[in-house]
Amino acid sequence: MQFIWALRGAIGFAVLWFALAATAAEPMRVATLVPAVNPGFEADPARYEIVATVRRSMHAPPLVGQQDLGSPHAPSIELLVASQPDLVVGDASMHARLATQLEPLGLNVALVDTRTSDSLLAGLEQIAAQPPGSERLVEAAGQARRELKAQHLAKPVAVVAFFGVPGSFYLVSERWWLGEMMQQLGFENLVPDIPNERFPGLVPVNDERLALLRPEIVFLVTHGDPGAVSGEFQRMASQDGVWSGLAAPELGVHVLDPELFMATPALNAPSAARELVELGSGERP
Amino acid sequence: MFRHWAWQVRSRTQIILESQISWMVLALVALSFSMALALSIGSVPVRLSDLWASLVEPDHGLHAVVWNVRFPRILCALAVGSSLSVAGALLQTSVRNPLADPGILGVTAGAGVAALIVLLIFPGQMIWLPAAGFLGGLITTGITLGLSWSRTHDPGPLRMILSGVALQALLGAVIALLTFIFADRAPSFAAFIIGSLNGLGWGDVQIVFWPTFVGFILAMILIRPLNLLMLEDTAAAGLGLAVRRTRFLASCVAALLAAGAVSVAGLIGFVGLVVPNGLRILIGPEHKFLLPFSAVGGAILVVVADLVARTALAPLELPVGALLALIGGPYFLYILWAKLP
Repeated sequence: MQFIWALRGAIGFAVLWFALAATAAEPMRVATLVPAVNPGFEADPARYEIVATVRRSMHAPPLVGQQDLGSPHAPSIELLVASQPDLVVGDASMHARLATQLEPLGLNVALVDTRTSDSLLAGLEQIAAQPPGSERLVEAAGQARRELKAQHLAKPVAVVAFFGVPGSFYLVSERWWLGEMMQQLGFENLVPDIPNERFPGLVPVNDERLALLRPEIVFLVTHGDPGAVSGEFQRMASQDGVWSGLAAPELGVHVLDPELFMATPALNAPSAARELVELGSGERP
Repeated sequence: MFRHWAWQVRSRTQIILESQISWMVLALVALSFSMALALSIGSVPVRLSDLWASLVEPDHGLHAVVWNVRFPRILCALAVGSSLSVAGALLQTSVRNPLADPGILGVTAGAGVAALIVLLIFPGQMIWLPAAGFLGGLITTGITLGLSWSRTHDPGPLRMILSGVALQALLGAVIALLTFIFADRAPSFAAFIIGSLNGLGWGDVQIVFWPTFVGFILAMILIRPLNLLMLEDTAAAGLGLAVRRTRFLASCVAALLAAGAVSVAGLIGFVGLVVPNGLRILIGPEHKFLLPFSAVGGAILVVVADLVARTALAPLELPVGALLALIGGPYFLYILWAKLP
């Protein structure tokens, strides 16, 4: 009798062990509504598999290899549900309402704070701390954070950064991730924080204020065609008007790589910071 | 002679009634067809043969998509379209002006501001969304009517439109201010401000159902007074109608309907302008027919517009509010220039 109980116990233990092993072997299916976190999950393919994600911009071509959920502002909920993710990662400011609509559908939603690279990395670390847990992701986020902190300009550089599409420019204040990163790196943002912002951290250009700015370097971040935005900016700056003070700053006018600078970077934040520091210190023409 | 006259009236009425009933049957068939179409077409392909099974069988592979995502969204579209359209019909009769619409008179914006306050400041109190929307819509209606009415003059179209435009601008500023103060949460409600049905589920069906149902019943109760309101005020009062009270009640019902719609779909406009005005040309101004037809017509318009919004560039989703404005804007201009002196 005791043997039978022992046999039953052994079989039960073996089944449980196999079940746990099988579960552990299956990577967690992740759907991301924030493309910047994708490299984080791709860093640990044994634990995470990105099954669905959104496009970085509306003009980007359809995604290949992953379920294309469309725009991050209005992702396709049908495709999201059909991709059967174990975890949906969204933006705390953009997807807060959507999260309340997804949870009744049985979807597990984690919202990350995308206001700064630091808060985004902290969000990734929090996700990595939850089961199944990923030391690799924690390590990658920690490494990015350390590399980010190591970047700094030797001396302050006066900067004005614009976020633009052809025909429309916004000034970047410290309330946008790039403004905050520039501040951390030792840039002196000539537009630190002024009211009347249209989007968080993005302020419509005020010509009177712009006339007084004399930056050492100008950065352009674009949502659309970088060449067209740069051309439009040079055209406006070359005229004898309020923009003329921005035409030829000491360290130049630089169009930043849209892939890296269009939205808050996470694991790519050190690359973004490195590029800014190299441009700001004149190491890169 | 009298018998012959009575027979003629009765037979003519019967012909009209039969004709209206056949129109209604046609409208209901069109609504059913548009719903079936909307249910079967989407980002996730569903074969017609799988449609019923995916709806009723919880174990079906597409049940989660069709039953939990697509079907409640279609029901919300139906309720939103019906509500806004009936609200438009009520307001147009109430102020005797074809340009009246929950959006143009600022009712939608008022309900939207109140709903946005709940969403941004009290995100845990979503249950109060329709009530807050109703209150916001009602206050805005009262202000618009108060601004456009005077003791000596009827509300002229220009006065009313200008009051509505001014109020909309004011409420737009309030919305801008709210999104500035709550910048960290505001992007989440961008779709609400444009008007969108993306992400609506069964919880939203529950939110929109009662204001729509109660509002429609109340509107049907007001059929006779609304018909009398189409007469001159003195004639209506001579027939025993409390004109101002009826106008106020009709406006309250319109605010309730608009609030229900706004609380789930955000600031969708022009449905109440396009549908009732179009139907008046087709079936006449008699409210016994106009209100049910408006409900069905508004439902068809929004269900089809939402179908286009979510499939035209799939998986990218267009905001349905913007699509409806593309239809409604030119129609508004047409009425403004062609129908008004």
